[in-house]
Amino acid sequence: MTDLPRHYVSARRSFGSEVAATVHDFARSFEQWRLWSTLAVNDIAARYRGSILGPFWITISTIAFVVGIGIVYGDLMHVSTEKYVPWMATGVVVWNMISITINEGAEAFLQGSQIIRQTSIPLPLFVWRVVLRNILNFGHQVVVILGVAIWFHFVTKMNVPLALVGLVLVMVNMAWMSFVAAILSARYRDVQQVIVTVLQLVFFVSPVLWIPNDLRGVRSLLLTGNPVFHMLAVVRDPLLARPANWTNYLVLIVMAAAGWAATLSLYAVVRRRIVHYL
Amino acid sequence: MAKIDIRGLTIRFPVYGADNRSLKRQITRSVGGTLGRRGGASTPPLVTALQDFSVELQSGDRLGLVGHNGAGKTTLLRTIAGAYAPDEGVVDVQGRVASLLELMVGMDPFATGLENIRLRALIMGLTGKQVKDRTEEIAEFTGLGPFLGMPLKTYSAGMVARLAFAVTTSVDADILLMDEWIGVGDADFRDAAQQRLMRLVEDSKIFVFASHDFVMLKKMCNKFIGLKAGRSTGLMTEDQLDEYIASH
Repeated sequence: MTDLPRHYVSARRSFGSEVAATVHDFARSFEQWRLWSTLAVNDIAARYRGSILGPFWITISTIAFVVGIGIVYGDLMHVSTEKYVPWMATGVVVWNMISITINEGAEAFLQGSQIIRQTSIPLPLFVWRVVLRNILNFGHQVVVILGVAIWFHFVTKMNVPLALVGLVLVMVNMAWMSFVAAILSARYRDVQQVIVTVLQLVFFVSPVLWIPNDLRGVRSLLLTGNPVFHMLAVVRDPLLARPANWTNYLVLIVMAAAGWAATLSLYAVVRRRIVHYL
Repeated sequence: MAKIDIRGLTIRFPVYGADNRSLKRQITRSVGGTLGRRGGASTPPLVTALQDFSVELQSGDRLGLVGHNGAGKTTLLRTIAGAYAPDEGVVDVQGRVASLLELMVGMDPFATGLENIRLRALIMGLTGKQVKDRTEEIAEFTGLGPFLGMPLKTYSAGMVARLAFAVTTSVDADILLMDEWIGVGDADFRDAAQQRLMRLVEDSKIFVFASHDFVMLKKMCNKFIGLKAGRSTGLMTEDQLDEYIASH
Protein backbone atom coordinates (compact mmCIF):
# COMPACT_ATOMS: atom_id res chain seq x y z
CA MET A 1 0.00 0.00 0.00
CA THR A 2 2.31 2.69 1.22
CA ASP A 3 5.78 2.99 2.66
CA LEU A 4 5.26 6.51 3.94
CA PRO A 5 5.95 7.08 7.61
CA ARG A 6 2.75 6.99 9.60
CA HIS A 7 1.96 8.91 12.73
CA TYR A 8 -1.19 7.55 14.33
CA VAL A 9 -2.31 8.73 17.77
CA SER A 10 -5.62 8.31 19.47
CA ALA A 11 -7.02 9.44 22.78
CA ARG A 12 -5.78 7.48 25.78
CA ARG A 13 -7.36 4.04 25.70
CA SER A 14 -5.82 2.01 28.49
CA PHE A 15 -2.63 1.64 30.49
CA GLY A 16 -1.70 -1.21 28.16
CA SER A 17 -1.90 0.97 25.08
CA GLU A 18 0.21 3.60 26.83
CA VAL A 19 2.84 0.98 27.65
CA ALA A 20 2.93 -0.01 23.97
CA ALA A 21 3.29 3.66 23.06
CA THR A 22 6.10 3.94 25.62
CA VAL A 23 8.00 1.11 23.97
CA HIS A 24 7.47 2.86 20.64
CA ASP A 25 8.80 6.14 22.04
CA PHE A 26 11.93 4.42 23.35
CA ALA A 27 12.52 2.59 20.08
CA ARG A 28 12.24 5.82 18.11
CA SER A 29 14.57 7.61 20.54
CA PHE A 30 17.25 4.96 19.94
CA GLU A 31 16.75 5.17 16.18
CA GLN A 32 17.56 8.86 16.42
CA TRP A 33 20.88 8.26 18.21
CA ARG A 34 22.54 10.66 15.82
CA LEU A 35 20.51 13.55 17.16
CA TRP A 36 21.13 12.94 20.84
CA SER A 37 24.79 12.18 20.32
CA THR A 38 25.13 15.41 18.33
CA LEU A 39 23.36 17.34 21.09
CA ALA A 40 25.58 15.75 23.76
CA VAL A 41 28.78 16.44 21.83
CA ASN A 42 27.59 19.99 21.23
CA ASP A 43 27.00 20.39 24.98
CA ILE A 44 30.58 19.29 25.66
CA ALA A 45 31.90 21.47 22.83
CA ALA A 46 30.08 24.40 24.44
CA ARG A 47 32.27 23.93 27.53
CA TYR A 48 35.38 24.20 25.40
CA ARG A 49 34.29 27.38 23.61
CA GLY A 50 36.18 30.44 24.76
CA SER A 51 38.02 28.31 27.27
CA ILE A 52 41.44 26.74 26.89
CA LEU A 53 40.83 23.68 29.04
CA GLY A 54 37.08 23.33 28.74
CA PRO A 55 35.71 20.30 30.60
CA PHE A 56 39.19 19.60 31.96
CA TRP A 57 38.45 22.31 34.48
CA ILE A 58 36.19 19.79 36.17
CA THR A 59 39.14 17.41 36.17
CA ILE A 60 41.38 20.07 37.65
CA SER A 61 38.92 20.90 40.38
CA THR A 62 38.62 17.19 41.10
CA ILE A 63 42.41 16.98 41.37
CA ALA A 64 42.41 19.93 43.77
CA PHE A 65 39.71 18.21 45.81
CA VAL A 66 41.55 14.90 45.87
CA VAL A 67 44.86 16.50 46.86
CA GLY A 68 43.26 18.63 49.56
CA ILE A 69 41.20 15.87 51.09
CA GLY A 70 44.09 13.42 50.66
CA ILE A 71 46.48 15.57 52.71
CA VAL A 72 44.10 16.06 55.62
CA TYR A 73 41.63 13.17 55.85
CA GLY A 74 43.92 10.14 55.58
CA ASP A 75 45.74 11.25 58.71
CA LEU A 76 42.52 12.13 60.53
CA MET A 77 41.16 8.65 59.88
CA HIS A 78 44.46 6.99 60.74
CA VAL A 79 44.72 5.41 57.30
CA SER A 80 47.93 5.43 55.29
CA THR A 81 47.99 7.77 52.28
CA GLU A 82 48.69 4.83 49.92
CA LYS A 83 45.48 3.24 51.06
CA TYR A 84 43.32 6.32 51.48
CA VAL A 85 43.97 8.42 48.36
CA PRO A 86 43.28 5.72 45.72
CA TRP A 87 40.09 4.78 47.57
CA MET A 88 38.87 8.36 47.85
CA ALA A 89 39.93 9.47 44.35
CA THR A 90 38.16 6.63 42.52
CA GLY A 91 35.11 7.15 44.71
CA VAL A 92 34.97 10.88 44.03
CA VAL A 93 35.21 10.45 40.25
CA VAL A 94 32.46 7.82 40.10
CA TRP A 95 30.30 9.79 42.53
CA ASN A 96 30.67 12.95 40.42
CA MET A 97 29.38 11.12 37.36
CA ILE A 98 26.39 9.65 39.18
CA SER A 99 25.38 12.81 41.00
CA ILE A 100 25.81 15.19 38.06
CA THR A 101 23.84 12.88 35.77
CA ILE A 102 20.91 12.77 38.19
CA ASN A 103 21.16 16.49 38.86
CA GLU A 104 21.28 17.45 35.20
CA GLY A 105 18.53 14.96 34.43
CA ALA A 106 16.24 17.37 36.24
CA GLU A 107 16.78 19.79 33.37
CA ALA A 108 16.53 17.29 30.53
CA PHE A 109 13.00 18.10 29.37
CA LEU A 110 13.14 21.76 30.33
CA GLN A 111 16.26 22.14 28.21
CA GLY A 112 14.52 20.51 25.24
CA SER A 113 11.17 22.23 25.76
CA GLN A 114 11.40 24.31 22.60
CA ILE A 115 11.91 21.17 20.49
CA ILE A 116 9.37 19.10 22.44
CA ARG A 117 6.59 21.64 21.88
CA GLN A 118 7.14 21.78 18.12
CA THR A 119 8.02 18.29 16.95
CA SER A 120 7.30 14.61 17.46
CA ILE A 121 10.87 13.94 18.64
CA PRO A 122 10.48 11.31 21.42
CA LEU A 123 11.06 12.47 24.98
CA PRO A 124 13.55 9.78 26.11
CA LEU A 125 16.00 11.27 23.60
CA PHE A 126 16.54 14.24 25.90
CA VAL A 127 17.51 11.96 28.78
CA TRP A 128 19.97 10.02 26.60
CA ARG A 129 21.54 13.34 25.74
CA VAL A 130 22.16 14.10 29.42
CA VAL A 131 23.48 10.60 30.14
CA LEU A 132 25.84 10.59 27.17
CA ARG A 133 27.04 14.11 27.97
CA ASN A 134 28.03 12.92 31.43
CA ILE A 135 29.68 9.76 30.16
CA LEU A 136 31.82 11.97 27.92
CA ASN A 137 32.53 14.16 30.91
CA PHE A 138 33.51 11.10 32.92
CA GLY A 139 35.99 10.34 30.13
CA HIS A 140 37.77 13.57 31.04
CA GLN A 141 37.85 12.62 34.71
CA VAL A 142 39.38 9.20 34.19
CA VAL A 143 42.65 11.12 34.03
CA VAL A 144 42.42 11.60 37.80
CA ILE A 145 42.12 7.87 38.44
CA LEU A 146 44.96 7.16 36.06
CA GLY A 147 47.16 9.80 37.71
CA VAL A 148 46.53 8.36 41.17
CA ALA A 149 47.15 4.83 39.89
CA ILE A 150 50.52 5.84 38.47
CA TRP A 151 51.51 7.81 41.56
CA PHE A 152 50.70 4.93 43.91
CA HIS A 153 51.96 2.17 41.57
CA PHE A 154 48.82 0.13 41.12
CA VAL A 155 48.25 0.60 37.40
CA THR A 156 49.21 -2.97 36.57
CA LYS A 157 47.05 -4.39 39.34
CA MET A 158 43.84 -2.77 38.09
CA ASN A 159 41.19 -5.13 36.73
CA VAL A 160 39.96 -2.80 33.98
CA PRO A 161 37.55 -5.19 32.20
CA LEU A 162 35.67 -5.93 35.41
CA ALA A 163 35.60 -2.21 36.26
CA LEU A 164 34.03 -1.55 32.85
CA VAL A 165 31.35 -4.16 33.54
CA GLY A 166 30.66 -2.36 36.79
CA LEU A 167 30.62 0.98 35.02
CA VAL A 168 27.93 -0.25 32.61
CA LEU A 169 25.80 -1.40 35.55
CA VAL A 170 26.26 1.99 37.18
CA MET A 171 25.25 3.80 33.98
CA VAL A 172 22.13 1.70 33.46
CA ASN A 173 21.04 2.60 36.98
CA MET A 174 21.94 6.29 36.90
CA ALA A 175 20.06 6.58 33.61
CA TRP A 176 16.71 5.63 35.15
CA MET A 177 17.38 7.88 38.12
CA SER A 178 18.09 10.72 35.73
CA PHE A 179 14.90 9.91 33.81
CA VAL A 180 12.76 10.04 36.96
CA ALA A 181 14.41 13.35 37.89
CA ALA A 182 13.54 14.66 34.40
CA ILE A 183 9.85 13.76 34.71
CA LEU A 184 9.38 14.96 38.29
CA SER A 185 11.19 18.24 37.88
CA ALA A 186 9.27 19.05 34.70
CA ARG A 187 6.08 18.81 36.73
CA TYR A 188 7.31 20.34 40.01
CA ARG A 189 10.10 22.84 39.69
CA ASP A 190 11.15 22.45 43.33
CA VAL A 191 12.27 18.91 42.63
CA GLN A 192 15.68 20.02 41.44
CA GLN A 193 16.37 21.71 44.77
CA VAL A 194 15.21 18.57 46.56
CA ILE A 195 17.58 16.49 44.43
CA VAL A 196 20.55 18.75 45.21
CA THR A 197 19.81 18.46 48.92
CA VAL A 198 19.28 14.71 48.89
CA LEU A 199 22.42 14.13 46.81
CA GLN A 200 24.44 16.13 49.31
CA LEU A 201 23.14 13.99 52.15
CA VAL A 202 23.83 10.81 50.19
CA PHE A 203 27.37 11.97 49.48
CA PHE A 204 28.21 12.18 53.17
CA VAL A 205 26.56 8.93 54.20
CA SER A 206 28.12 6.97 51.33
CA PRO A 207 31.66 5.62 51.50
CA VAL A 208 33.20 8.16 49.14
CA LEU A 209 35.47 10.00 51.55
CA TRP A 210 35.57 7.37 54.29
CA ILE A 211 36.53 3.73 54.36
CA PRO A 212 33.94 1.49 55.98
CA ASN A 213 36.03 -0.52 58.39
CA ASP A 214 33.68 -1.34 61.17
CA LEU A 215 30.20 0.03 60.87
CA ARG A 216 28.00 -1.84 63.28
CA GLY A 217 24.31 -2.02 63.99
CA VAL A 218 22.01 0.41 62.22
CA ARG A 219 24.91 2.20 60.54
CA SER A 220 25.81 -0.90 58.53
CA LEU A 221 22.63 -0.18 56.58
CA LEU A 222 24.50 2.82 55.14
CA LEU A 223 26.33 0.23 53.09
CA THR A 224 24.03 -2.67 52.34
CA GLY A 225 20.90 -0.53 52.05
CA ASN A 226 22.58 2.29 50.14
CA PRO A 227 22.37 2.04 46.32
CA VAL A 228 25.38 4.31 45.98
CA PHE A 229 27.56 1.97 48.03
CA HIS A 230 26.93 -0.80 45.51
CA MET A 231 27.43 1.54 42.55
CA LEU A 232 30.77 2.70 43.94
CA ALA A 233 31.91 -0.79 44.83
CA VAL A 234 31.53 -2.38 41.39
CA VAL A 235 33.83 0.22 39.83
CA ARG A 236 36.18 0.88 42.73
CA ASP A 237 36.91 -2.64 43.92
CA PRO A 238 38.27 -3.94 40.58
CA LEU A 239 40.35 -0.77 40.12
CA LEU A 240 41.90 -1.14 43.57
CA ALA A 241 42.39 -4.89 43.01
CA ARG A 242 40.05 -5.69 45.86
CA PRO A 243 38.15 -8.97 45.72
CA ALA A 244 34.80 -8.67 43.95
CA ASN A 245 31.71 -9.08 46.05
CA TRP A 246 29.01 -10.56 43.85
CA THR A 247 26.26 -9.24 46.09
CA ASN A 248 27.00 -5.76 44.70
CA TYR A 249 26.38 -6.94 41.15
CA LEU A 250 23.22 -8.76 42.11
CA VAL A 251 21.86 -5.70 43.91
CA LEU A 252 22.60 -3.47 40.90
CA ILE A 253 20.96 -5.87 38.45
CA VAL A 254 17.83 -6.09 40.58
CA MET A 255 17.87 -2.33 41.09
CA ALA A 256 18.18 -1.71 37.36
CA ALA A 257 15.25 -4.03 36.60
CA ALA A 258 13.01 -2.61 39.31
CA GLY A 259 14.08 0.98 38.64
CA TRP A 260 13.45 0.77 34.91
CA ALA A 261 10.11 -1.00 35.44
CA ALA A 262 9.02 1.82 37.73
CA THR A 263 10.38 4.51 35.41
CA LEU A 264 8.65 3.04 32.37
CA SER A 265 5.37 2.80 34.28
CA LEU A 266 5.64 6.39 35.42
CA TYR A 267 6.48 7.49 31.89
CA ALA A 268 3.53 5.54 30.47
CA VAL A 269 1.19 7.36 32.84
CA VAL A 270 2.44 10.90 32.23
CA ARG A 271 3.93 10.77 28.72
CA ARG A 272 1.04 12.69 27.15
CA ARG A 273 1.15 15.41 29.78
CA ILE A 274 4.88 16.09 29.89
CA VAL A 275 4.66 18.52 26.97
CA HIS A 276 2.10 20.52 28.99
CA TYR A 277 4.37 20.66 32.02
CA LEU A 278 6.95 22.64 30.08
CA MET B 1 -0.56 8.51 -0.84
CA ALA B 2 -0.08 11.17 1.76
CA LYS B 3 -3.04 11.81 3.96
CA ILE B 4 -4.22 13.51 7.11
CA ASP B 5 -7.25 12.04 8.78
CA ILE B 6 -8.39 13.76 11.95
CA ARG B 7 -11.57 12.69 13.70
CA GLY B 8 -13.21 14.22 16.73
CA LEU B 9 -9.94 15.75 17.89
CA THR B 10 -10.04 17.49 21.25
CA ILE B 11 -6.93 18.96 22.80
CA ARG B 12 -6.98 20.27 26.35
CA PHE B 13 -4.12 22.06 28.03
CA PRO B 14 -3.81 21.60 31.74
CA VAL B 15 -2.45 24.89 33.04
CA TYR B 16 -0.06 24.05 35.84
CA GLY B 17 0.75 26.66 38.39
CA ALA B 18 -1.88 29.17 37.29
CA ASP B 19 -4.62 30.63 39.43
CA ASN B 20 -7.82 29.68 37.69
CA ARG B 21 -9.90 32.57 38.93
CA SER B 22 -7.56 35.37 37.96
CA LEU B 23 -7.10 33.75 34.58
CA LYS B 24 -10.84 33.51 34.05
CA ARG B 25 -11.33 37.20 34.59
CA GLN B 26 -8.78 38.07 31.98
CA ILE B 27 -10.30 35.97 29.29
CA THR B 28 -12.84 37.35 26.87
CA ARG B 29 -15.01 35.36 24.51
CA SER B 30 -13.25 36.25 21.28
CA VAL B 31 -9.78 35.32 22.42
CA GLY B 32 -8.46 31.96 23.54
CA GLY B 33 -10.01 28.55 23.96
CA THR B 34 -12.61 27.42 26.45
CA LEU B 35 -11.67 27.33 30.11
CA GLY B 36 -12.79 24.59 32.40
CA ARG B 37 -11.65 22.02 34.92
CA ARG B 38 -11.64 18.27 34.83
CA GLY B 39 -12.08 17.45 38.48
CA GLY B 40 -12.18 19.34 41.76
CA ALA B 41 -10.24 22.37 42.84
CA SER B 42 -7.06 20.31 43.20
CA THR B 43 -6.75 19.57 39.49
CA PRO B 44 -5.19 22.17 37.21
CA PRO B 45 -7.50 24.42 35.17
CA LEU B 46 -7.99 23.21 31.61
CA VAL B 47 -7.94 25.22 28.43
CA THR B 48 -9.73 23.45 25.61
CA ALA B 49 -7.68 24.53 22.63
CA LEU B 50 -9.46 22.35 20.08
CA GLN B 51 -12.90 20.82 20.39
CA ASP B 52 -14.25 17.95 18.30
CA PHE B 53 -12.23 18.89 15.24
CA SER B 54 -12.40 16.69 12.16
CA VAL B 55 -10.87 16.96 8.71
CA GLU B 56 -9.73 14.60 6.00
CA LEU B 57 -7.03 15.72 3.59
CA GLN B 58 -5.45 13.96 0.65
CA SER B 59 -2.72 14.65 -1.88
CA GLY B 60 -3.42 17.91 -3.65
CA ASP B 61 -5.25 19.48 -0.75
CA ARG B 62 -4.09 22.91 0.39
CA LEU B 63 -5.82 23.79 3.61
CA GLY B 64 -5.98 27.36 4.85
CA LEU B 65 -6.72 28.00 8.55
CA VAL B 66 -8.25 31.27 9.68
CA GLY B 67 -9.13 32.45 13.16
CA HIS B 68 -8.24 34.92 15.90
CA ASN B 69 -5.21 34.55 18.12
CA GLY B 70 -5.75 31.59 20.40
CA ALA B 71 -8.45 30.08 18.19
CA GLY B 72 -6.47 26.83 17.95
CA LYS B 73 -4.61 27.19 14.65
CA THR B 74 -1.14 26.64 16.05
CA THR B 75 -2.38 23.87 18.33
CA LEU B 76 -3.75 22.07 15.29
CA LEU B 77 -0.49 22.48 13.38
CA ARG B 78 1.56 21.25 16.34
CA THR B 79 -0.76 18.27 16.75
CA ILE B 80 -0.27 17.31 13.11
CA ALA B 81 3.47 17.74 13.68
CA GLY B 82 3.16 15.22 16.53
CA ALA B 83 3.90 17.39 19.54
CA TYR B 84 0.51 17.01 21.22
CA ALA B 85 -1.47 13.83 21.73
CA PRO B 86 -5.27 13.99 21.47
CA ASP B 87 -7.40 13.99 24.61
CA GLU B 88 -10.22 12.72 22.47
CA GLY B 89 -10.39 11.53 18.90
CA VAL B 90 -7.82 10.22 16.47
CA VAL B 91 -5.02 11.78 14.46
CA ASP B 92 -3.71 9.74 11.55
CA VAL B 93 -0.95 11.34 9.49
CA GLN B 94 0.74 9.49 6.64
CA GLY B 95 3.76 11.02 5.02
CA ARG B 96 6.90 12.90 5.99
CA VAL B 97 5.88 16.01 7.86
CA ALA B 98 7.92 19.20 7.74
CA SER B 99 6.85 21.97 10.04
CA LEU B 100 7.88 25.50 9.25
CA LEU B 101 6.33 26.73 12.47
CA GLU B 102 9.39 28.15 14.16
CA LEU B 103 12.50 28.16 12.08
CA MET B 104 14.92 28.61 14.95
CA VAL B 105 13.99 25.55 16.99
CA GLY B 106 17.04 23.75 18.30
CA MET B 107 19.63 26.24 17.12
CA ASP B 108 22.45 27.07 19.50
CA PRO B 109 23.78 30.64 19.59
CA PHE B 110 27.22 29.47 20.72
CA ALA B 111 27.66 26.90 17.98
CA THR B 112 28.95 27.87 14.53
CA GLY B 113 26.76 28.28 11.47
CA LEU B 114 27.84 24.91 10.10
CA GLU B 115 27.23 23.15 13.41
CA ASN B 116 23.81 24.74 13.52
CA ILE B 117 23.01 23.47 10.04
CA ARG B 118 23.71 19.96 11.30
CA LEU B 119 21.74 20.40 14.53
CA ARG B 120 18.73 21.94 12.84
CA ALA B 121 18.72 19.40 10.01
CA LEU B 122 18.78 16.47 12.46
CA ILE B 123 15.91 18.03 14.39
CA MET B 124 13.98 18.38 11.13
CA GLY B 125 14.38 14.61 10.81
CA LEU B 126 17.07 14.36 8.13
CA THR B 127 19.26 11.27 8.30
CA GLY B 128 23.01 11.51 8.82
CA LYS B 129 23.65 10.87 5.16
CA GLN B 130 21.12 13.47 4.03
CA VAL B 131 22.70 16.02 6.33
CA LYS B 132 26.10 15.33 4.82
CA ASP B 133 24.80 15.46 1.26
CA ARG B 134 22.85 18.67 1.70
CA THR B 135 25.12 20.75 3.92
CA GLU B 136 26.99 22.21 0.98
CA GLU B 137 23.82 23.24 -0.85
CA ILE B 138 22.36 24.73 2.32
CA ALA B 139 25.58 26.59 3.07
CA GLU B 140 25.65 27.99 -0.44
CA PHE B 141 22.05 29.11 -0.32
CA THR B 142 22.59 31.06 2.90
CA GLY B 143 25.21 33.15 1.12
CA LEU B 144 26.99 33.52 4.44
CA GLY B 145 30.33 32.20 3.16
CA PRO B 146 33.11 32.44 5.75
CA PHE B 147 30.64 33.46 8.46
CA LEU B 148 29.46 29.85 8.63
CA GLY B 149 32.55 29.09 10.68
CA MET B 150 31.62 31.77 13.23
CA PRO B 151 29.32 31.30 16.20
CA LEU B 152 25.69 32.13 15.57
CA LYS B 153 25.70 34.81 18.28
CA THR B 154 27.93 36.97 16.10
CA TYR B 155 25.28 37.02 13.34
CA SER B 156 22.82 39.79 12.72
CA ALA B 157 19.13 38.86 13.03
CA GLY B 158 18.89 38.78 9.23
CA MET B 159 21.84 36.42 8.94
CA VAL B 160 20.35 34.06 11.52
CA ALA B 161 17.06 34.12 9.63
CA ARG B 162 18.84 33.25 6.38
CA LEU B 163 20.55 30.29 7.98
CA ALA B 164 17.41 29.01 9.69
CA PHE B 165 15.40 29.44 6.52
CA ALA B 166 17.94 27.65 4.34
CA VAL B 167 18.09 24.58 6.58
CA THR B 168 14.39 24.39 7.32
CA THR B 169 13.46 24.52 3.66
CA SER B 170 16.01 21.88 2.65
CA VAL B 171 13.77 18.98 3.67
CA ASP B 172 11.59 16.86 1.40
CA ALA B 173 8.11 16.87 2.78
CA ASP B 174 4.91 15.14 1.83
CA ILE B 175 3.07 17.28 4.31
CA LEU B 176 4.09 20.87 4.89
CA LEU B 177 2.89 22.92 7.86
CA MET B 178 3.28 26.67 7.98
CA ASP B 179 2.22 29.26 10.54
CA GLU B 180 2.13 32.59 8.67
CA TRP B 181 4.03 33.03 5.45
CA ILE B 182 7.77 33.29 5.88
CA GLY B 183 9.58 36.33 4.55
CA VAL B 184 13.27 36.72 5.27
CA GLY B 185 16.29 38.69 4.26
CA ASP B 186 17.16 41.68 2.14
CA ALA B 187 15.87 42.28 -1.39
CA ASP B 188 18.12 39.79 -3.19
CA PHE B 189 17.68 37.04 -0.70
CA ARG B 190 13.95 37.59 -0.44
CA ASP B 191 13.37 36.70 -4.08
CA ALA B 192 15.48 33.57 -3.89
CA ALA B 193 13.80 32.62 -0.61
CA GLN B 194 10.31 33.09 -2.03
CA GLN B 195 11.17 30.92 -5.01
CA ARG B 196 12.54 28.22 -2.78
CA LEU B 197 9.52 28.36 -0.49
CA MET B 198 7.08 28.23 -3.41
CA ARG B 199 8.87 25.21 -4.80
CA LEU B 200 8.67 23.48 -1.43
CA VAL B 201 4.93 24.18 -1.21
CA GLU B 202 4.37 23.00 -4.76
CA ASP B 203 6.37 19.81 -4.17
CA SER B 204 4.44 18.97 -1.03
CA LYS B 205 1.40 16.78 -1.39
CA ILE B 206 -0.57 18.33 1.44
CA PHE B 207 -0.11 21.88 2.66
CA VAL B 208 -1.63 23.23 5.86
CA PHE B 209 -1.27 26.96 6.25
CA ALA B 210 -2.47 29.17 9.09
CA SER B 211 -2.53 32.89 8.40
CA HIS B 212 -4.22 36.21 9.01
CA ASP B 213 -3.34 37.29 5.49
CA PHE B 214 -6.45 36.44 3.45
CA VAL B 215 -4.87 37.35 0.13
CA MET B 216 -2.03 34.91 0.73
CA LEU B 217 -4.43 32.26 2.02
CA LYS B 218 -6.57 32.46 -1.09
CA LYS B 219 -3.52 32.41 -3.32
CA MET B 220 -2.00 29.32 -1.70
CA CYS B 221 -4.98 27.24 -0.63
CA ASN B 222 -7.99 25.49 -2.15
CA LYS B 223 -9.84 24.56 1.04
CA PHE B 224 -10.44 26.58 4.16
CA ILE B 225 -11.42 26.09 7.77
CA GLY B 226 -12.33 28.79 10.24
CA LEU B 227 -11.52 28.22 13.91
CA LYS B 228 -13.21 29.99 16.75
CA ALA B 229 -12.41 29.16 20.38
CA GLY B 230 -11.25 25.73 19.27
CA ARG B 231 -14.29 24.89 17.22
CA SER B 232 -14.21 24.29 13.49
CA THR B 233 -16.51 25.73 10.84
CA GLY B 234 -15.98 22.66 8.71
CA LEU B 235 -14.46 22.83 5.24
CA MET B 236 -15.23 25.97 3.24
CA THR B 237 -14.75 26.96 -0.37
CA GLU B 238 -13.21 30.31 -1.28
CA ASP B 239 -16.67 31.90 -1.62
CA GLN B 240 -17.73 30.56 1.75
CA LEU B 241 -14.49 31.94 3.20
CA ASP B 242 -15.40 35.40 1.91
CA GLU B 243 -18.78 35.18 3.59
CA TYR B 244 -17.15 33.92 6.79
CA ILE B 245 -14.65 36.76 6.83
CA ALA B 246 -17.39 39.30 6.20
CA SER B 247 -19.48 37.98 9.08
CA HIS B 248 -16.62 37.88 11.60
